[in-house]
Amino acid sequence: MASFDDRLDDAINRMMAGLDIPENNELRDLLAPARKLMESPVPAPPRRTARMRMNAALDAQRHRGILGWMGLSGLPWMRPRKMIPALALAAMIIMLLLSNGALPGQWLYPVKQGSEAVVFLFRRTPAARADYYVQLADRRLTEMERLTRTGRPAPASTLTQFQQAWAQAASISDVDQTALQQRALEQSLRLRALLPSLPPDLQDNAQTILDYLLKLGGIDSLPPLLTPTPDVSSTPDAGPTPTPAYTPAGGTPSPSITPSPPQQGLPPVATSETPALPSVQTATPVPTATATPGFNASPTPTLRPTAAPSPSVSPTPTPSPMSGPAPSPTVSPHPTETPDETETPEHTPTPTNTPTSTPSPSLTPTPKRSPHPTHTPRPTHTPSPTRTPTPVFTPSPTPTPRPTRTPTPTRTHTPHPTHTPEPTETPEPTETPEPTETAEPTETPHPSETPDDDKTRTPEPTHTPKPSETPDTSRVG
Amino acid sequence: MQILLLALQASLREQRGRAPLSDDAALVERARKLDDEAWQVIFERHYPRLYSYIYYRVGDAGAAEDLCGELFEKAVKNIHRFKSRDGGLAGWLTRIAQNLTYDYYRRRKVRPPDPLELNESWISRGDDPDHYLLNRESTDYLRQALQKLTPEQRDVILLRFIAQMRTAEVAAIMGKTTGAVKALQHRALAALRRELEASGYHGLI
Repeated sequence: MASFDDRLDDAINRMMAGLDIPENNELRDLLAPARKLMESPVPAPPRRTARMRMNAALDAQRHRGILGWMGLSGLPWMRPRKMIPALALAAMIIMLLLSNGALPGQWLYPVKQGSEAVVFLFRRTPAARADYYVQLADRRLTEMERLTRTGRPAPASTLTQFQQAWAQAASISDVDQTALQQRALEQSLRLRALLPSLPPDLQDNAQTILDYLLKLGGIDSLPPLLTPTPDVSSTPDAGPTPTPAYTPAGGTPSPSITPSPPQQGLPPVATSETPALPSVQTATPVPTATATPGFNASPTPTLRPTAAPSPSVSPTPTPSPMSGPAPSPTVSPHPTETPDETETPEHTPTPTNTPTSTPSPSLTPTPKRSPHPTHTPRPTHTPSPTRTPTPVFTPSPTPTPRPTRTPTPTRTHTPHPTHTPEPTETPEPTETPEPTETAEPTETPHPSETPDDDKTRTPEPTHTPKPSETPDTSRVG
Repeated sequence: MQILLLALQASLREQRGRAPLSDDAALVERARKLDDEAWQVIFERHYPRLYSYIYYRVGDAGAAEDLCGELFEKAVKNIHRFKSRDGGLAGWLTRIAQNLTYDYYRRRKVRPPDPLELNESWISRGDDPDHYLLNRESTDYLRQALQKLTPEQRDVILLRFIAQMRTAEVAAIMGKTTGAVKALQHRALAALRRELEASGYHGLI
């Protein structure tokens, strides 16, 4: 038996369908208001407006979404609102990729720098941060290269950022110094190549930074990029004349060798960031000095600074003296030498040979060469010894091995080779590493140190022979 | 020749895979693809009852028309969300209408409409104004009586007799069983009669 609710519902359904309703007073009473509701007029539904809105919505839907025009806009994931995050992400990625190649002055450049700053946040370890700064410097350098390549001037800010990046990288301890030096050398090579094409007002600063990088890399100066034989003839100052001779001797080795001593240079760099740069310059020469002994003909202007280092060169020879009392005697020769330098100061800088100095230890076998006395022109240079304490300095012959290595070709100054006999001391040369230590002191107060070092470094006198070399240059001419 | 053309048209229609519009499933399927014809059918089939339902809820013909336009806009935009278990297409559209009226009250905090307000849309029909004023009077009695019912009773009356929905559809919309809806509509009709009698309305005889 159906309940009253069911019967009422059935009666309502029949009424709505226009069918007869069962005779029942109770049902009739209840259905009366319902019937009135269904019959009551409702304002005419104005369809036009609502239909227009629906049609407009249909059109809008058809044109919404990427594939809306293909009739596929019904798919939910194609609706613009759902695609906004994806589109924004894609736009950001595209902008980041494009900004990667942005140059200073371009509208995407700030984006590039912003992304670099974000990358820094993810570099947590000291090594990673050092690597970050080196990469940053590399990017700035690349930007300067690209700008100059396209004939636009590199802005000072880029150079400053390059410098700051390196200062930051060097200030981080607990880093693989060898790798850092290698990178510094690589970039210094690029910077030097870039140097001439930089705006004149930036060149001084760039030179300072270059010296700083060389110091970081552990060398005084780089070998000339181009062997400007013609230049030599034209401008003796530039020292290009020597270049030909150098290139064969120390030119190639310099870059690779350099790394070893640099460690000494790094500490100072760390302490002094940008301001330290100048001091760095002074320091750098020291190593160059070591080279100088062999090569008078320092090519590029960098040689100038190297001139100072020349004293440092002396250390290399010192090895032998270092072991013994040599220092004291060596001092005496110096004075005599200084005049020599004045004679041909420019040549002395030839620091590029410095590398040769470092190898010297490895070359220790050179003693064998000692027989080559003929080659050992340096000893000949040592003539300084001849001046006063030569006998004492004879130990300097240790340096003689070097001469045998490189200068031999250039220098036929055999006379002194007689000193070479001392090669017995050659073992001492193995101690040569000490010279590297000497570098530290040399870092800043070269000039001042020179006296001290001089004591130890008799070799400087060896430079004096340069005068004799000068004739070589004349030959070139 | 004509037969041939008709056959060709029929085959073309079949090839296009156009389902007939008689049943809800096919209608919804075509509506999802934004088929214009399907939407016109939906509009004609549901607009009158939806309009009445909204009108009874908001008491204003202009607002009802506006809400009706908004209703079909929403329907077009959200047809991809339609599920058959939502009480069919009629139930789904009615639920949208219900939500729109809720929003309408929330947004406007509308005061109860003046029952004697002469709506311009009545006149626009071009019928005898006296006749409509008379009918309007009974409508106003009904509306006033409805306002005195509980919200559930009012909802079930409007859905059942104005929106002309089946018991099962009303149950789906209200989230009740059909048995509960039947009992509720019984109580709602009894209460409506009492209110109409109490208001002095004599049209029930």
